[in-house]
Amino acid sequence: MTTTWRELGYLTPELVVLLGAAAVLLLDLFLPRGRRRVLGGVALVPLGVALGWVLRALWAQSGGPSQLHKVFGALLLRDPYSLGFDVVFLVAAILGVLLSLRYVEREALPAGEYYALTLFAVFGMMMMAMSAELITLFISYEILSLAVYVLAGIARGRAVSAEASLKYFLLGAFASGFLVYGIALVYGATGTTVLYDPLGQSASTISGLILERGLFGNALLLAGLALLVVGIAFKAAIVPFHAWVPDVYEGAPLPVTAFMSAGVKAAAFAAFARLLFGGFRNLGEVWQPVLWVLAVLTMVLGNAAAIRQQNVKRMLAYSSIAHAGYLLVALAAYTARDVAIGSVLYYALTYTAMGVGAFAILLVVGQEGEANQELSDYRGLASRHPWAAAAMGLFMISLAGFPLTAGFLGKFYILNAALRADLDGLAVVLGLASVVSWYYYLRVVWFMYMTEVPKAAVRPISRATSLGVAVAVAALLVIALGVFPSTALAVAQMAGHTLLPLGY
Amino acid sequence: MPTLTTPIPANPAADWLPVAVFLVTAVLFAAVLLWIPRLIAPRHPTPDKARPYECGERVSGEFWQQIHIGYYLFALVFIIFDVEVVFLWPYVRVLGGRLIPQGLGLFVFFDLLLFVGILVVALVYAWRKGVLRWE
Repeated sequence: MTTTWRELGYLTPELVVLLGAAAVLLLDLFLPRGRRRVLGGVALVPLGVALGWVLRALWAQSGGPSQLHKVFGALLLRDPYSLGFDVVFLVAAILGVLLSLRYVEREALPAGEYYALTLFAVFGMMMMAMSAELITLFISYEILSLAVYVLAGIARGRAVSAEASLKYFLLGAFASGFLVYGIALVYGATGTTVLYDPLGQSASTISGLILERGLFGNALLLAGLALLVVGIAFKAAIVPFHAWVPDVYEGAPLPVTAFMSAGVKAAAFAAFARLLFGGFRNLGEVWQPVLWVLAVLTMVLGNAAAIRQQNVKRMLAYSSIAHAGYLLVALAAYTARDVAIGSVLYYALTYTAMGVGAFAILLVVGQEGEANQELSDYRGLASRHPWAAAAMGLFMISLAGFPLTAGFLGKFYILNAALRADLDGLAVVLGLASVVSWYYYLRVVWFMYMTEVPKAAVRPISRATSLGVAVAVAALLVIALGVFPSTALAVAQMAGHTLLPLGY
Repeated sequence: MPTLTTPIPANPAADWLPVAVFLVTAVLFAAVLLWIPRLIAPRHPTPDKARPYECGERVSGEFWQQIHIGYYLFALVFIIFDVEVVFLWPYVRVLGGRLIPQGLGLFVFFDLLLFVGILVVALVYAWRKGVLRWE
């Protein structure tokens, strides 16, 4: 009888974030204009509480049997997998808010809307990672998308920001259409929208019905799956659905770009893995070659385009596409699912730390109105601002994948999954793509350390405490995940194991 | 365990028969209704009768004019409550009817409160932003 109350209890972190968003929105309306700077701090509270709850829930399961609960029938799943991704979203959001505190004030952005929308977006991400049913997945996807469309254009005074928002919205609406159409076709073919049942209690799920009715070559189902992949690939910034990425990432306010590149992508991959490894695991032979091609295209194109960029923000946007390609390699390794899922989660966390960290340095070096973001602006940074340069160097070599950083182990586990699944070709492409990426990552380091300019020519940097904290947290995460990966990796593996369905 | 499953009929095309019947009926119904007055109603048009009806007021101005943006915002706020009613009714009928006898009345109450609360937040937001003020 009390199941429904308990079910609501499983959603504690989501509800905390949702109520926090409402609180920020209301507070903004009743605070005098001058006091609105507290809103960023207020937004950190629900994020911190939710992160604490999630970490405690994960901690309680470490060592013991992992817990898996169905919420609201089988619409949502509260499992270590969703908890693990919640950590990624919340860390990305907390870092994102820390980056925003000074920025929102300096650029005179509407603080209430800004932080409320950030929290709504996090809520959508968390629901997306939990969704085990297609309609729920779609609604979460829309909650996330609508919030981020507005965030991208929240600097209304800047034309590029408005342009980014409009482009993102128009293309995003198109992608949503693909997703809904895919859901309709899959429903038409199977008669259900439930992806799978990890407890094996119900066979009338997409995954169960594919087996039961032998729908392996069903044209309706395959067309639906293809449309679903397109819809999610758009959000994950996968080539050839990436056309919006460079313009939107460059046009959106910097803290929003940082939050988007880490959070939205992680959410898309969380849903992607649940969709493919859960609902459509019995069609692995069909979707694996598709992912193989997408992964190669994404890695090659993302890296090739990043090489040519002179603007660091735009370079990071293209590099973010390349990283989506690395994550796709893990998804393609479906015959080694238990390792692959864990490596997706681990990589999402490492990318969040190093990606947001790099964007944080962009904010530290950047000037008002998003100036000072050319590669040449990093000339001689090390001589004048050694700490900022050292942190940027750390994030760059981590993104490039050097040992003793988080990026190296992230790539290592993805390669491990790829090799176990006998995807030797894909592993080779990943290795070569990484080598290519060294060029544009290390070029930043070269500009900071190896070029000489008169000291007066190096512009002053922002010394806001919030920025410093964000950089320090990101740098610590990069080092910690690179040197002591065992805890995070154990959690990731546990998450991978619970996603694997026992039955249908 | 409730799932969203419906049984698949042996012949999916048969499923569409009611839809086809419905479509044909709808078209016929509208056509017949338009046709009957033509047949039996007397018609004596005068200039006054031919004027568009504006709730009994005298028609003023052109129709092709700019419309105050306030209408649009009002319409948006109206939709919030429209959707609210549309959602609350089936919720109370279907879920409430099943859950309240199980002693989950309080749960239903708080569940709805959460939903209405979110809408209230939206209304308060609109109110403080001056959407409800007509200028």
